[in-house]
Amino acid sequence: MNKTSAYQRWVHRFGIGSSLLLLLAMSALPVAASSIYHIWPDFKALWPGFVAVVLFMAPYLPSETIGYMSVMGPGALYLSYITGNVTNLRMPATIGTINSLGIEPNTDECHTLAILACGASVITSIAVVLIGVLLSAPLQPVIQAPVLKPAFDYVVPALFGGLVAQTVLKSKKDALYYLIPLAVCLFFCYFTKVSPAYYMLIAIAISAAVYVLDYKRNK
Amino acid sequence: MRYTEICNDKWLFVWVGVLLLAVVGQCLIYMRRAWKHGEEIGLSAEQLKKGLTTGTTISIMPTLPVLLVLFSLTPLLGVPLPWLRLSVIGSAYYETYAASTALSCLGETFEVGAFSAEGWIACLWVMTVGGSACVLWSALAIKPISMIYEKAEKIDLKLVLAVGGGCLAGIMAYVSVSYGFSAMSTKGVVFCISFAVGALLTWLKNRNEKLRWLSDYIMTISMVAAMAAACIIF
Repeated sequence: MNKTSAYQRWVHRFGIGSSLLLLLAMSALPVAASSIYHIWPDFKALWPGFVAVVLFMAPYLPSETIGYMSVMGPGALYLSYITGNVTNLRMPATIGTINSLGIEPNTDECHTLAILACGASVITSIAVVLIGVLLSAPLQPVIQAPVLKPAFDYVVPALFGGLVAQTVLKSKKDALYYLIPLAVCLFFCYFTKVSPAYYMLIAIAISAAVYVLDYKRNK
Repeated sequence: MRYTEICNDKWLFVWVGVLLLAVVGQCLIYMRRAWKHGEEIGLSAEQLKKGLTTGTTISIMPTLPVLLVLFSLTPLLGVPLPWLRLSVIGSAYYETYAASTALSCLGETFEVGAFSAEGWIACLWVMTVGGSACVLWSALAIKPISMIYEKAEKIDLKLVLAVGGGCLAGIMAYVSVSYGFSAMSTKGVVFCISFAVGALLTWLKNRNEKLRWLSDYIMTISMVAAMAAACIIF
């Protein structure tokens, strides 16, 4: 128990420290460029741009952090927020791992494996983009070939179909309970103008409530 | 000064390279410690390796569209800036939005050769500083949210596990709609094909003990099948 507590403390300490350091290094790049080229932006004109960019992602931050915490755990979330693509890369990597190993979500084992899966996913993404930078001339015609375009356009739905099937078809109960948040999401998607970031949180809360009620009923 | 004179300077490549090495270093430190902790809590080396291989194999295909964005942004912004942003924090959807928003603030347009060096510097500021808000968020918010879960675990562990199961089902419902059923004639078709292949393989695996090995490949097979179907259908 002590080892786990010490590990958890380290996960937060290292996650916060390294995130802030990388934030500093990232923010120092435009400062360095402005200093070197003696071109400073007109911040009075540019501030709406900063606000627009922050607002673009703002609704998803609390939703993803609260919603994904039980599956990914803090360590994998720190890693994911530094490298982005939380929903379409890091979360599927985690869920794919726990599915194939039959690990229960929200356990120490799950969160530990999530760090390994997300870390491997981050390094893979960085390596693939690096290969793209180095080999852009021979790769460009292949990646941009019209015949392959639909495959790349629809890679995310293709990824999630199999992932959802494998996750929700574990038992009849899981399949049945999946239909409840699915109905909630479909309702919000087709009958309201509520942002997906918000209805995601509502669907997760309702789904969690269903599972808690089921647990209390069988207690 | 034109932006094309500065956007591919060598020092930018060095800065980006060092930053990406730091990110990889952070990952490796995290992974080494997680591996050690995994052994302490009783996970086998095979299970831990599975975490690494699944994370890697699942990420290759979905990263390829990022290359498309990289190739489309390179003539506009040079190599280092898109390379950095598409490797760290940024996403394919987000970077074009950030760059065009920055330029519109200055009354310029996001077209090849159509904006000034000031415009490129503005893109650099908005894409890096503005786009890093999520890192600040993670540094501030993850610990308090995680603490709530930890406190609940001490009261009733099984209840927390039930919440975890519920959250997972909720996430699956959300991605089903967001990346599938929200546009039934396009991405919904691809999602349903992938789901059908995944469901068939899951059913086969559950029915036959000898097909247990399939569980490692269900996602990959259904993804590749649905991508191939998309090439035929669209």
